[in-house]
Amino acid sequence: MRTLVVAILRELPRIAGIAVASLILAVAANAMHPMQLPLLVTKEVPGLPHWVSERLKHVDAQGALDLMNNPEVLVIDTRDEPDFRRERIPGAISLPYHGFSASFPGFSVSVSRDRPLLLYCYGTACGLSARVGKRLVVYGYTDITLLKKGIDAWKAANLPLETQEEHNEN
Amino acid sequence: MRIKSGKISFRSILQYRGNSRLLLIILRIGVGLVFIYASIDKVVHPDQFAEIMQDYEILPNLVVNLASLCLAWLEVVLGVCLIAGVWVRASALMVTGLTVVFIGGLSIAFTRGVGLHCGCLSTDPGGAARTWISLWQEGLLLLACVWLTVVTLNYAARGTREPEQRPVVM
Repeated sequence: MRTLVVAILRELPRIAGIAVASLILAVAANAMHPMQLPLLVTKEVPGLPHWVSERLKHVDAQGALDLMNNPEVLVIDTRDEPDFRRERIPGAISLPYHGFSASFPGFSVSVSRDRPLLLYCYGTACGLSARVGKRLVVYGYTDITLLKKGIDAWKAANLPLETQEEHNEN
Repeated sequence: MRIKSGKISFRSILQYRGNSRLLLIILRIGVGLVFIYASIDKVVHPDQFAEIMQDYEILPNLVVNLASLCLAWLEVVLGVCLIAGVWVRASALMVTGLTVVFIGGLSIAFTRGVGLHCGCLSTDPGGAARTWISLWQEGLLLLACVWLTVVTLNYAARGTREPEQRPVVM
């Protein structure tokens, strides 16, 4: 057993070598990658490049309501489908993060790239709207706004919600 | 491996050198291919892999991008080392450690009740969420990694030449 431990200890320099090689490759590849992630996440959420976050606007609940006065604005719910069906911001359509690749082809055909979009997700810690926003930026959508603190902020402001029953009645 | 009265002793496992060099080579290349295959989507979509790592809720957001980039390239380097037969013992130790980390990360997430997509082979968040039962895949990989590590370290512990430097006799 002791000789086995010694054998493991003897491998430490090689293990360090592999780790350093991986670190160098990772940093170099990231510098050349189109997404170019910031190595340390200070302001943005993980997985969000600087150039994408600069194109995403943010509004609070009241700002979102003002934005929705423009009939051109399309409200997008990025939460999972069951939550969308239960309740949503009036007029919202579903483009869930966990199903984006399946939903996006139909979405891209029906929604033009320059249409103003308002995205929301669950709440404070939710990054789903930013993640979907990033994908939409990559696919060429130019006017994307995120609702800060998601549907929780909308509820906190006592703004109206649409439920499945109301949707069916309409 | 010595089997006395139907029992396999721990000592015999540690002293096991493998009675088939061909099996060792197949396993080395097989594990290497698994790691390279697993790394492809992560290297191509580092931003999406960072999102998945964030969902594990284990690392602070500050280092998620850097960790996801390094992990993807670490898998590439380890896969190449195993297939090429370079630094096999160190690589075997590291793939075993990584697989333990993967299983540990998934287990912690499951225990917390976080429904997540593994990010093991694909970064697409649209796939089915992982469950305890689906851990058999990582369990199988861990068995292969442990076997590879034990056999290669035993060569070192016995003072014999590295397996990759010895002529293959079938």
